[in-house]
Amino acid sequence: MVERSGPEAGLSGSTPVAAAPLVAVDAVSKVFAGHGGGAETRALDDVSLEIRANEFFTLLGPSGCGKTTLLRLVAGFEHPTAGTIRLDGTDILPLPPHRRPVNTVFQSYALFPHLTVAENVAFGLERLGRPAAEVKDRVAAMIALVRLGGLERRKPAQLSGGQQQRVAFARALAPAPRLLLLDEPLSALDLKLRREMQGELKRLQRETGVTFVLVTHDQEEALAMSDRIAVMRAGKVLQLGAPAEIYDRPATRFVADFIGEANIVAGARVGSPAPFVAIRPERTTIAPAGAAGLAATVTAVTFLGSDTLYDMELAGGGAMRARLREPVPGLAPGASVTAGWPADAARPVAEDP
Amino acid sequence: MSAARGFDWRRTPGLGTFTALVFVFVYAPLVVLVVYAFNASNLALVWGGFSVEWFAKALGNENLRRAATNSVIVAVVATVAATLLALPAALALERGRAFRGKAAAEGLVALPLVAPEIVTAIATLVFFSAIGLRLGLGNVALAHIVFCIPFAMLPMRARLREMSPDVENAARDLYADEWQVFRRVTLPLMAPGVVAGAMLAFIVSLDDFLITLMVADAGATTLPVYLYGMLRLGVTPEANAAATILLAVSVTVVVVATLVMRRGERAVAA
Repeated sequence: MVERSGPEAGLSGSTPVAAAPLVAVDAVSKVFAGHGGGAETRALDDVSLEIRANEFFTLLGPSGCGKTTLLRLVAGFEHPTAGTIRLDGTDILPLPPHRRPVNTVFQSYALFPHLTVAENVAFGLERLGRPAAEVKDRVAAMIALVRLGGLERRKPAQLSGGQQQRVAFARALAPAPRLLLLDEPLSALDLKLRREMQGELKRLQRETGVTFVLVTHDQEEALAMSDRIAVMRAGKVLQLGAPAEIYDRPATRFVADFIGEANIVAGARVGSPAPFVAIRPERTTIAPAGAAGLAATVTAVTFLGSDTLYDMELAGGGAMRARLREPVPGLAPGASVTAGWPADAARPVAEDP
Repeated sequence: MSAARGFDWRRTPGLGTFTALVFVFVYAPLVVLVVYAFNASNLALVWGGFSVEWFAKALGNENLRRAATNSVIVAVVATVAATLLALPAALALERGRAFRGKAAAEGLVALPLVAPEIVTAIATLVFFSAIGLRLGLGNVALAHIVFCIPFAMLPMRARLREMSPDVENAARDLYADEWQVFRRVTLPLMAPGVVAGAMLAFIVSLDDFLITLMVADAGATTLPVYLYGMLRLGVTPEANAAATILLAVSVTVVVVATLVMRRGERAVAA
């Protein structure tokens, strides 16, 4: 049964008022019943995290990790099997989606095809019963914010994908929500437009001061835009922190491999007490055979312009990759070498839960 | 024909002839019906020159006019009632949560589509006499409402199935309560399906013969039943003319429904 607590429950918590988070997800699990007698799916497994006011927060993980489910629970389209979700200290689980001060930008945009751009943007404000003059001003301001001036009377079908995307942002931001949820909003755009919209999203967040929660499977996108990232896998949060922190000090083997690239070596082989160590390819070095390090054989050399990639097979099994600024003259596949790294480059990482 | 182009069933030898024969088979009776409606002779199947006198006669026949009026009254009542009943049913089956007996409910609602019409006709007749219902044309209208519901529901469900629930979720997310979601988003988007369902119900009601024959009292005859009575007294071009008018009405309704559907699809295709 779902545990529900009153709005006062948020005030009795042990967290000091000054550090009260905007969103507090506490021990949330979501189990989907299997269809036609199939096995049930545990989409979220005892997830707890806090989102601060005005931050750009990202839920990052591969498909099926539960990130979209968590977003839908906050929006109110799904109900958790266990746990609580508080917004400004108030339990929002009893509230239907239309009573939550939270708006969503859908992956499919989900614009209203029978309404014009201006009518789409005005929809939320009108449902909130704002006076007509205020709605008009706010719609104009939002359309200017997303730079769609002149397209107010178009229908969504008459817009390009990027323009539809901007309407979706304007529509969701117009009611000035406490929280904006973005479900892989850039995944339908081509690469060039996606890079452009990443900057645009950062600008929108800065200018509106609204807290953004982004769901994505694109680690570059997450690193580029987020204040903090929660890396998820199989319904669990593996690590939560600032982008640099997650990149430099990955907590588990999966995080090290998913965020950027990493060579994962068993701790025992390199004298580390941790189960594994992760070494970034750009910090991996290549020395002549016999030097201190791991004996290896070069299997492939890939010239990338600015860098050169060296793939190596370790003598004791396993593979490593080095990404060097300066190519090693005469080093070709088949050569025996030693793979090494500076002491501070080997990050101890835990096995995944 | 080049082998390099690969197999294309449209290039099967004789396909054109075969297609033409199928069209002849399907439409020749209709062409004959319409042509002989303009026959000057008073024998239905002997050509006596072109004339529109049978149309004039058909339109001047008071019994025929009454039957046609009954048909229209029944069809309008059945269309409105069946559409209003099918709409919530379509929403419950396509958008509602899973409920116990959902599959059974779907089957029961669709039963008139698959049950032999004679079974429905006899069941309706027996049911009405068992409860002693004698509403004249009202009996006919009631029977029509029942078998029109599944027809009205078909295009509505098809429409709902192709509408992404995300759009309705977006409305919910933007502070619309359930009623506002329905009125401002679901209904406008499914409108072409509702119109098509209503048109289908209208046509099915207008063309129904078997159930009406069983249920209708003497004064509550509809056009198809009256035409059948006319033919039993000998086939005259007057019956052809009346049938041609019925055909024209049916085709018009179907064409309008198709156009409305297509326009709606274009509006939604984003």
